[in-house]
Amino acid sequence: MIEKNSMISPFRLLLILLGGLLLIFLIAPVAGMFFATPLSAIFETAQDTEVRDSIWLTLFTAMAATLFAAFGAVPLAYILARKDFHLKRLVLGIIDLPIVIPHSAAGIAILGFISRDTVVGKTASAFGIDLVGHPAGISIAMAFVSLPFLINSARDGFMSVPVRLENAALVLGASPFRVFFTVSLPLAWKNIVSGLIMMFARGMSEFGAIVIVAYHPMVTPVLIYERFGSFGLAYARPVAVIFILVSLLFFIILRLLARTKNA
Amino acid sequence: MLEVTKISKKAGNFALKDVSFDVPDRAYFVILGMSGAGKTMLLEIIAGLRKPDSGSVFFNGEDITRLKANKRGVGLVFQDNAIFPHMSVEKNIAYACYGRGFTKNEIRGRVLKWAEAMNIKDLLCRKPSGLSGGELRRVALARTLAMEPSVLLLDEPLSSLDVLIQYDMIRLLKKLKESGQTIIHVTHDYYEAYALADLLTIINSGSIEQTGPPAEVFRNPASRFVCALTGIRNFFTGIEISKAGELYRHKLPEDFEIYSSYQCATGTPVFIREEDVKILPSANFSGLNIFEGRVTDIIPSPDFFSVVVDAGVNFFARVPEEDMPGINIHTGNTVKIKISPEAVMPVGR
Repeated sequence: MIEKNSMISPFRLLLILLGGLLLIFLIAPVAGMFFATPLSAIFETAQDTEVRDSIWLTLFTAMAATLFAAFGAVPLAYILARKDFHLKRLVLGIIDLPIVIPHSAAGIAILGFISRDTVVGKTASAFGIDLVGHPAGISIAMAFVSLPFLINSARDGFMSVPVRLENAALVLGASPFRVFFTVSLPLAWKNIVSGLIMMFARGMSEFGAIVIVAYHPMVTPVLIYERFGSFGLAYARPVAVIFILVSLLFFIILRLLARTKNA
Repeated sequence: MLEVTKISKKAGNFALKDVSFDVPDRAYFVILGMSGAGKTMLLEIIAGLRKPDSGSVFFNGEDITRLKANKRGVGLVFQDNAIFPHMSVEKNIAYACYGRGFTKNEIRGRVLKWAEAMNIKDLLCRKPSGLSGGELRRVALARTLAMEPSVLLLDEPLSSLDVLIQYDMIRLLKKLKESGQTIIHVTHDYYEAYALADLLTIINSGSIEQTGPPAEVFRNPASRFVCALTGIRNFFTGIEISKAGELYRHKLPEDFEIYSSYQCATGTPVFIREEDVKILPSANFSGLNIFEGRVTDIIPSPDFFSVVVDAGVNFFARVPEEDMPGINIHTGNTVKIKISPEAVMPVGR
């Protein structure tokens, strides 16, 4: 009865109307793009090795960026969740920095950081790698802009683990190391996985920082931009559609995997 | 033997002050105090989860104050059990056994032993979610006992259990005590403490007020707080004490006088147990420590009534249910009460 009454309240109607408009705003451009792209063009583009290579490169570099970053990000998130220290707010601010600065500016900053005349660049050169224009450089740019998603999500996860449980494990004789791997990590796992997925997705979709650090080899977002610049909308569209489909597919698969793991 | 010596610890606007006590091997030691008295903090210091600001904890003569929690071998059962929600009951109980060089079979054996002792063998495969409060408490106990702790610390082990299960749990703890396990048990409940303790210590806002066998503490409460905690409500402080023959006269404010058989210094409070305040069957009595007053309240309990008599000061008298009809007590009636000088006891005698 209450349900029925609240359904027809003008306030609810207003909420639905406003929310609906916003949803249309989100869906319409993407849907429009799908409808404006002929199936034949999608199939043809899917055969294009340049497109395929760029998609593989994007997936690979984003995956690598996420996995490598996790080794530092998860411990950092744990410290941030558990310890109070001087300048903690500053550290939290720094972690959120990549979200607020323009990504082209982030690209410029990273380029200065990894170019051949810097310590990082020289070290990489010693191993025969020129980070600028290299998949490793792309991964670095992706990691830079997407790290906040992992750190913040993992931190939320660790904060939701009661300290009491860690204390209980300690008193039962477990070393802090074992407490972390048998209690803290498993209980924060859901948030960490969700953070990994977000970081991966954000890395895959990055354009601004990557286009400055490594125009070549081309990740798909750069390729879409290049096709648009050189050949126009009709040529950029099929690539965009395919990339969105691939991204969606990965997103759904990873989410499902995360869910079965927790169940 | 576990010795706690002069432990002090500040936390916010609360502090433990110079807390000292000894817990002999195989003793059942109960720390009794109101909530917020610092009982849990004390347990955490003994377990090694907090460092005291000053003072030491010794175990068998060895200073363990700086020893890490995971190296102490002291078991702590948390008030809310702190069961690992992502592990089965079996994995929870086995947790302390891993990394100690036991074989799989030995671990299984220990788990079964304690699951059986705690009567939770049929729960081993279950996940903690969905277990009842009593079951979770048993899992927490089994998990801690499986580490075979040198000292078992229990934080309010009977709280948040319903009354029927409380009795089972008391029996279980008694059995543990008989097995020779050294136990420190923290509670706010006097009856619980009395039922289990070999030794009782009473803590009030961060300080120990009295330590001793429960019967001794009950007989001779050392402070007003201990009186209140053990249910004594007749409590007076004389402004002048003088000898009167064999007895001692305590002068209370407003010219009220009461006689006691015991000598004590001026300013020492005295207490009278409710059962020692006798309501006389007729008004024809007079003499020493006989007072006339008006019944202002009658508070029923299952097998007695607490009768409040205003005789210049308020007295609480305990009247057994079967005596009530004989003495015709109603609120507003005037009655006479008699208190033996033997029953007027100075605090901390």
